[in-house]
Amino acid sequence: MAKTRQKPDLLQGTLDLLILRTLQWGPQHGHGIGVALRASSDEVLNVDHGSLYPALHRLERQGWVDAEWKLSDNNQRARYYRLTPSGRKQLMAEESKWDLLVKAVSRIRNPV
Amino acid sequence: MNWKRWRWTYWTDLFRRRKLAQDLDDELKAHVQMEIQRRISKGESPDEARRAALRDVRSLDSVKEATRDAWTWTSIERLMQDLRYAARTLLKTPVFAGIAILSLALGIGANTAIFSLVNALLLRTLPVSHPEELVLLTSYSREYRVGDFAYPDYLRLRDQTQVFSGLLGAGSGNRMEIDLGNRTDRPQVQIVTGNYFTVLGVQPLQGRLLVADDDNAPVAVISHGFWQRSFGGDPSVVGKSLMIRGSLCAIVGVAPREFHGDSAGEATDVWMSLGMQQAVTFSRFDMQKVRYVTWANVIGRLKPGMTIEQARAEAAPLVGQIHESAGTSPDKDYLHHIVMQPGGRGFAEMRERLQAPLLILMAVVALVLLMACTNLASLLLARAASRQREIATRLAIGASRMRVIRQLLTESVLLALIGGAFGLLIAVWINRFLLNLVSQGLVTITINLNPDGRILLFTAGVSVLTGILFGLTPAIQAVRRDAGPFLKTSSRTIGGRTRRRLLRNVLIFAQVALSLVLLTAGALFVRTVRNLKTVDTGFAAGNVLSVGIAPHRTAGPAQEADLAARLIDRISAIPGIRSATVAVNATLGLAGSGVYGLEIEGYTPKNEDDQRARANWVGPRYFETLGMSVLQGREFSMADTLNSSGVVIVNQTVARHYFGEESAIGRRVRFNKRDHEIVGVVRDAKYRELREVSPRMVFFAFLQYPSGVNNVEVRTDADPLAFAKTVRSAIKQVDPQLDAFEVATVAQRIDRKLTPEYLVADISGFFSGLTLLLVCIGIYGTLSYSVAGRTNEIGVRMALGAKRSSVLRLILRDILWTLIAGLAVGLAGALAAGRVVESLLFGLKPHDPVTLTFVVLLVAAVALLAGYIPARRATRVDPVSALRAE
Repeated sequence: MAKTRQKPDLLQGTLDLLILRTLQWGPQHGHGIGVALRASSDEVLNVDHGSLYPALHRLERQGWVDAEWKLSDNNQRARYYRLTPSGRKQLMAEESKWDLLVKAVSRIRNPV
Repeated sequence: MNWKRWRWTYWTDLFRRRKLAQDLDDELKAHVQMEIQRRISKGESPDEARRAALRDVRSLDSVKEATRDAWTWTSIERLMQDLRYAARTLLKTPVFAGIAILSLALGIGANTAIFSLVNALLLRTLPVSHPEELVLLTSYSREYRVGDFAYPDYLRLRDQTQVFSGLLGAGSGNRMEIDLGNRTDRPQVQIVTGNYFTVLGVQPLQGRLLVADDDNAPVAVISHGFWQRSFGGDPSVVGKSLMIRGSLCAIVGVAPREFHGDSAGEATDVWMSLGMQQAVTFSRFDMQKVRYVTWANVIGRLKPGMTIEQARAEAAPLVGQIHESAGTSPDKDYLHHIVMQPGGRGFAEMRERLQAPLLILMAVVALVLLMACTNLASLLLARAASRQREIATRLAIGASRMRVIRQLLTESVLLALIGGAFGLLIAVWINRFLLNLVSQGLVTITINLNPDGRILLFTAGVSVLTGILFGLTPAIQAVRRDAGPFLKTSSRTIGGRTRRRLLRNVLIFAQVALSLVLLTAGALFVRTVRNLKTVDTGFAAGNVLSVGIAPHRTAGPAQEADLAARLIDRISAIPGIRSATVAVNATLGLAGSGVYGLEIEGYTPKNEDDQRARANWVGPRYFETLGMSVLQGREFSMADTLNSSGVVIVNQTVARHYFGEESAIGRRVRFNKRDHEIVGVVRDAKYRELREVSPRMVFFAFLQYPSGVNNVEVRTDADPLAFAKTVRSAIKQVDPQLDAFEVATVAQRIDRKLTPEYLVADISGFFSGLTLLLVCIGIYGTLSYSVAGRTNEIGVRMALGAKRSSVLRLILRDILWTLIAGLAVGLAGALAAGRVVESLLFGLKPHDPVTLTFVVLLVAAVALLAGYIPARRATRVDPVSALRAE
């Protein structure tokens, strides 16, 4: 029996944004994305692998990232994800959406 | 998301799913390896790192599951799961599945069968280029449809049109004897204009097709079928010659395999050029010059961009010109106006003959399918009720309602699809039966009934729709209730029962009403056929053999009379033959004649119509041969010849119409500038149609009006068909040129006339019988379930002292009102349906009280019987065990 999919829009959107943003700097495999996210958020965000891989596959399906098997730095076969042109566009859209959200939230928190 | 991309990945995923799963596996393994290395590089011990990495990823399986959910194909996977589960469930209840599939298969099969006939005869367009550009031209006199055109009129239309790029002319097909050297064959031959194939846009398979120049040459094109049958597909057939009725005709080409001619249901074997026309018709008129013989059926091809409206606008002035130059008046001519219809489906004769019966049959089988569907719905409903616990459990452990409904729908669609598959098989069988039936009556229908795309689509569509439409309501009903009570207590709880019972009763109601309509229609059609078969024809049809003879070369009246006399003498001499005679029109044959301008001595005609009568030219002992009684006077003899004074015999209707109570014998009739004395009055009879109401009929002596012999009628002592060969060879002995193209009994002629009626009566009779069975199954199934569900209640009632009879009443009362309502509405429906089919009935009215009473009683009896069996089972309930089961 299929699980009912949980779709908290904000969270999912956020994870998508973070993944796309990480891939902006070049192709990366799943593990590397996880490490990068943790490192660049100063260990604040610890992305659950149970969400990371489904998100990656979903992004791939939507055509925002491409994947191919390559050898990693220490000679291990890994699936590398790369941002596609439409993924780049999506990233820009997600970022402006995020900016709007942040602005809106901070306006509420610190009314002028 | 990009739709195209999605669809593409969807399907590639389906086939690549194994690879995708493997990839995911590898990817996660690589992830774990990398995590271990990362931890080791941070200083953890290998063991520790491995444990941590695995803990971190937690269960790999749940990650896989979640990831797989991101793949679209899981919905396909789920469908496969549903299908597997549905198949298992159906296998567990084979009786239910069997009944459901069987009734659906019958319903869908009947629809597919009739639809393939409708498709082949009414819908399919000719296999020619751009059939939508073709227009069918039909000539009409002021009063009736003529159909074909005189050749000079066709020429004028063809040469003066601005709208059509071409107009073809085609005679109607005839079987003609062809001498193939070592043997003879009898192909369907059609005479066509040289532009026939050009206008239709057909390309040759071998050699060439006809061209305009062929109008003066004796050439022919043969069909693929005839080429295969008679020449074994000989590649050198082009250039060979056919010997037809004493003339040679060169084969110039073979038509493509899929092209059978210009009419649905009738296949032509040989298309012969106009140059052969006089040679094979032996007409005394030049059929390409005179305006009083019509034979050309006309189809035109519109110029690109032209419309049928423009063609209509153009036709009227052209008809005017035709009459102007011929000096005729449209009111008294065969050609009053031209009707134009889209001609992509070819000529319409067979279509018009079978259209009404086929559409009625389509309606009948549609109702049968509806019955089968309501049956399925009530079976599903009863079954869903017995699966309450299962469904409640699934809902309780977290299945969404949509999910359960989808599962139940998968089951009903699966049922319907299996039913549809069997239906296709049944359709093939029904079609074979139908074609046999239609072809029996001497009309050979050649149609391709192989299931084509349209038919498969039709069947699949009907099946899926059936499954969804009639599975949906029971499925929604099944999940509507709360799960709680069914789990907590037993399944005997009353909750939600009223709504379900209402739905159940609606279904029974629909079945009763539908079956009443179908049975009434079936009974009316069956009785119509019986009435037609037992109608008083006015002659004794048994032991009469009727021989059609093709037109042949004759020299003059004296020789024609002589030939007729020799034929009569020769055939009468055959042992076992009582009498033989000749006639211009065969009894109940395809053709009939009329005369006008009759002048009756001592009678003042009221109008032009008063001087008209139907007529036949018949030989000596005609009435004796056919068994028509001569009421007064005598019949024709060998002594009524060209040299004796004119005589005529009339039927009762003529005698009554012109002379009332006075005797008609001895009166004089002037016709065709000749005087005739009425020498006999014969009983009224059916001459062309079984449904006709005795027309005024005048018989002239054939030997006084000799023509080429085209009909010989023979009365035999024993089975007339046993004499077919002898009579045929006797005719050949008299003149080898004579071609006896049709030898049939009058009974066979009647069968041919009745083909549409047989078609309707057999099919609707069979299926209305079937609906009775469906009603039985429906009511029995529903009540059985209802009784089983109320065992407990009945047990209590009986424990409290209820009598068996009152329990019986309790159960039957449940359906009694439904039954009465169904009968009432069905009766109204039957009356309405009767009005639609009234024109097909004979000898009874659509509201025929006997039929209606019989049908209502029949349905009521069957319904009560089907209800009584489960009801009686209820009275056998043992109160003690019923209560203990609780």
